[in-house]
Amino acid sequence: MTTTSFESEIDAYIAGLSRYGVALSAAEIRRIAHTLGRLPSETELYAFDAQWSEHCSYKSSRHHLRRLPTDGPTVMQGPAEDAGILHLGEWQGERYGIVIAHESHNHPSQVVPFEGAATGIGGIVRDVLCMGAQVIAVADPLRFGRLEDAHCRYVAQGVVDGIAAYGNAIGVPNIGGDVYIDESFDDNVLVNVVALGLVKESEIIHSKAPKGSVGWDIVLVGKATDRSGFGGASFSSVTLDEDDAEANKGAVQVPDPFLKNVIIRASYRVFEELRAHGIEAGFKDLGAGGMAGCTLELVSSGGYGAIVDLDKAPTGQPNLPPAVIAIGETQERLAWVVPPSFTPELLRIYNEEFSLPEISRGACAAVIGVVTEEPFYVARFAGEEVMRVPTRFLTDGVRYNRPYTIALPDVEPFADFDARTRDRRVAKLDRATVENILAHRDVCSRAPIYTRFDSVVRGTTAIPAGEADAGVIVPIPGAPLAVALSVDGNPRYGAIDAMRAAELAVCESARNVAAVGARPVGMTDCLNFGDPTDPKHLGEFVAAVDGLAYAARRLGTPFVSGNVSLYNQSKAGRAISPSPIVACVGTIPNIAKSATFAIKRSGSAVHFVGMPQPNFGGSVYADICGFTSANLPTVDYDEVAREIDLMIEAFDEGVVLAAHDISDGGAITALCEMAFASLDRNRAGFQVDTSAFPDKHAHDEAIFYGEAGGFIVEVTDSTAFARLADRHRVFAPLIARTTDDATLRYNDLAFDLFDLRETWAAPLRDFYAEARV
Amino acid sequence: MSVAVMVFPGTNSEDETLRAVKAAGLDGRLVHWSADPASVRGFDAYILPGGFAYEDRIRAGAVAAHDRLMDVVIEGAQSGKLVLGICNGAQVLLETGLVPGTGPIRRPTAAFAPNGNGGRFRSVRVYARPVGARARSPFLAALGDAPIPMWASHGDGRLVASHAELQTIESGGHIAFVYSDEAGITSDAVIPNGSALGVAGLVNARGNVLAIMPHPERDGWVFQHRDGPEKLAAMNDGDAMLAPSGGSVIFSAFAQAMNAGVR
Amino acid sequence: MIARFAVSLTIPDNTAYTTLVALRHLGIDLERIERAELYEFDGDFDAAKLEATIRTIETIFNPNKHRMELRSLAEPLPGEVWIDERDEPVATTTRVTVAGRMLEGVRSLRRATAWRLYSGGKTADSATVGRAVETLLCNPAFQRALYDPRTKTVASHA
Repeated sequence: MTTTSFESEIDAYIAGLSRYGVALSAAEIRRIAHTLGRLPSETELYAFDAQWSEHCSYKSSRHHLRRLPTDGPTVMQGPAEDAGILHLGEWQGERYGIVIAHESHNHPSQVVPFEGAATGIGGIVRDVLCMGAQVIAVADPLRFGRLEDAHCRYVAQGVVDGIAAYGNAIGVPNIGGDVYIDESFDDNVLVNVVALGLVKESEIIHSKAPKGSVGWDIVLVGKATDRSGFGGASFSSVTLDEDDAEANKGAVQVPDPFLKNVIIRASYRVFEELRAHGIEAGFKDLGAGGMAGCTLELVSSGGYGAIVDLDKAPTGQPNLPPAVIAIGETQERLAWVVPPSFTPELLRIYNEEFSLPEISRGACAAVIGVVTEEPFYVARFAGEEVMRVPTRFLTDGVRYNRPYTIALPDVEPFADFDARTRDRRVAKLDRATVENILAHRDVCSRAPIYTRFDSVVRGTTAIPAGEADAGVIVPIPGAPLAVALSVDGNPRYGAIDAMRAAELAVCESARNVAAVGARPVGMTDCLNFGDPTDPKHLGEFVAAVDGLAYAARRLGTPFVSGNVSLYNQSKAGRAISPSPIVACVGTIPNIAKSATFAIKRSGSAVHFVGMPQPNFGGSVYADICGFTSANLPTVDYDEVAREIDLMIEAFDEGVVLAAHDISDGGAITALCEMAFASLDRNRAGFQVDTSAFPDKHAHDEAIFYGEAGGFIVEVTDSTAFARLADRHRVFAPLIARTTDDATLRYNDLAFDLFDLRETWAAPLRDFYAEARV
Repeated sequence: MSVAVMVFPGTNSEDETLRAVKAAGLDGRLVHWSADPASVRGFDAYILPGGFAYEDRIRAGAVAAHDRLMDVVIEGAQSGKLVLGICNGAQVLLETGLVPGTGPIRRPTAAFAPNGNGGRFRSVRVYARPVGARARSPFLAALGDAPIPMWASHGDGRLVASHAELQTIESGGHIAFVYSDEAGITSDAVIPNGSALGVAGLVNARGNVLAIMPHPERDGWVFQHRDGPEKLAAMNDGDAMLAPSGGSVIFSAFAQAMNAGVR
Repeated sequence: MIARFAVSLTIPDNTAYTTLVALRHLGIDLERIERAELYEFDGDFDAAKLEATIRTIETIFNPNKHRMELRSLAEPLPGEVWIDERDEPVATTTRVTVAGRMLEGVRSLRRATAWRLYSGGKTADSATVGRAVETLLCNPAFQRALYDPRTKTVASHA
């Protein structure tokens, strides 16, 4: 074949490409053809489409992500695999790690909310499981469009139903999450999910073919392959409009939480057997890119190749083409690399002891291939070779250094801000403003959502969702070691300044775990943004990564895993607010040194920890009053770190009774929520007094409505707490005493807290109480 | 005294239930659905933990009630062995007809039907107050009057039966627990699912088979408790925080009844 | 008016499979079971418009795994039984909202599960259906079973 005829053959191939529905560019196709020295087969085409998608290859984002700190004394394993691992502590001579993974399932959830959201949980749970860990908790950051819109309502209800249906069935507690409602999510819901696992350091399993594994078996486990979920990876990397949404329903997978429950338990049995026989194995979940993507990455990361027989993969529908078997994203599947001597035991556990084939038609464990020395991925089907690709070429994909522009926020001096907005601002503590804040869509009670999720299965939950700023579990039965998990990321901040929003997300998530007495030890991020080929949106992404990187370095909380979700925008060009969402893991050596945010007793001193700021940009207060401002809270990292240290030491000394971080809705919201949580038991109230604030900070507006961060803390001993605060050089004035008359009093104001609680409880309760199928 | 904690495909609360059983001093063991029925006969008592056995296919508890291992459990119940079903396990016991036990085996006369909110799953803290003919039941007798803290975490927990059957359930002393507040008062506000008569748990006439919807094992240790004097007193004391309490009385009463030789 | 839609799976129906195994275990000789969810809408509405709306509600009809057909007959087919809840709380008198979408003109919605049993190459006779209902398919404490004891069996299409 002459070069010119090959080139024209490639051109003709590219011209006819539209019928395949792949997202690969013409330049990418050319590169593939030139490297292979021939046109790709249909199976290869879909394999490249999946592996080189933004979703799998991070082609626009990867070199920016390198700036994130990923190492430190708290890290057991960094972000090399599907999940990272942080040190939890030692118990009975064993070192334990907390596995953490963070994923998004945004596009599928917009198209089919119920199954899209359910599938998101399924995927993340597999990521944690395949590290050899027990899956011990999940949490969901959710971003919904306006509930006044019929379709947004549909999505918001379907997503919650889907998470409930899947998460509750698999038996993993949902201990946290957050919800923001914003018009920028009208066309693109965000459904992120974080999962935690528990593993002994000596028992970590890696997602790669072990050293010396040439000739070992590749075993596929789980649901029989079907057509569902074909095209998933590239589907996640395109923008959506209404018509596409209908057409794309076929690309969303069908989840089966019941089968997953059994596969999890069967896999725990396999872990036991591997340990008992001292066998090293490779284990990885099938996600984007399907069976070929998973087994490719398994062998490739070990430096090997594979020969896979597509005919041997169990199928649930007749006449599946090889491309669907290889690339389709049928749910509830995992792949093992094990020595042939162990294979019969592996098959017995899944197929007989846990009887997968009887539980779900066609589900089973089956040997589908073998690890090879030669670094080629080879797939055969019906006696023919349908794929032969150098592994590294396929896994390394392409990289783009796309142009971006970073817009700076329009910050103004306070005097200008003050003059411009004076007429709109309330400035004083005022009943109507407090009611409006408590009923605000980003402040009102989330109970109608989190009570739909099982937060206490496994019997390890110490603080379930809704009782504190972070969920807390005691993962090792009998051991006092505890783990706290919080998620954060404020889209109102993101819309103003992606970088500062990212910094504030890091700070707030760290403060949230400190508010239950936990030391923040590490983080994950899910970076949700618009189209990266638009320099503006890529600029938002780049700025956010910078913000995360800087904040995490300053606070010493490395990012051990993460996820990027781009193209969150409609075809009309409406993109989401830049949404860097952060999850923070904290550890508590002794569960007895932790507490919920509920007020514990009458007559306690309550301190305000932190420095109020008159920067109301992106605040709930600004939204209520109807003014805008680009003046986001500023961050003094030394101050943030000292406040966190103070909280941890105060918990350790037994001085803290309850703590709540100051965020959305300001300190007044924090105070109210602390009282609401104990109204029924204690009729908790407050006598508020701001006279301990020095004059320059004694502005009610900043104290009560500001969102500059910090904590509200109920303490056992005001003097002792003040002494600790002095030692940590933290500003922590007394702000209130607790009472038992269910009233918040300040000067001549008196708010009935039962009334305020109803105002706060009603909005989402009424929405989610709607009768429906 | 050996207790089998039964695991069906879809069960999800077996580990914490086993922990509660062991904390009560019993020799608990997980028994897997693929076990040989003959090996299951030797246990002295059976516990059916929570979850979604067989995915609640057909309806909650229906398929598990017909599992071959349930033949062994039914046989044991009829011979007087203690059987406790929690949440999904309670649904299974109603489907077997063992509870309330007013009809033939596997011809249910009552159901824990989809919740009154459209069958949606809810997970909330509740109290279950022991009521009814406690003296007749070997293991309810060991419980006091105090409401017991638990978690109701289910989508199908609303007791439903015909009017006549509800009367039989009430007058025959089959109600073991009703939902209440901390002070023991039952009102619509504390019933999480619209259950008839506020029922949280039912017992058979002989008193050896108990079906309870809320989970005692999820509020059976101090660290799991809601805020209150007991949890506050345990602050800063790791051993106290990790001690059994609250819902654990169900398991200690179970152990007490077993050790007293209930057969 | 009343509009009735039957929605069934295009992917393997594990529930039908489990039910088949359980009924065989109970000594009822069957070769196949088909299952569909029935949605019965009552009210004053444009049926075509209603159907179009329902086809966008994923929790009822997901084209990824469902097929949907209009059922004009107000009673079960030969070999079929409909199981529903006696007092299902979904129906309302003011307005019916399904998954956040208001269904225009719909006054009430009832759901049922339709099980169709096959035996010996034909639909099962009513005695067999009756035994399946009594032993497994219906909990009479809260469910009702509707099937016609007089219908004849018809040949299986599968």
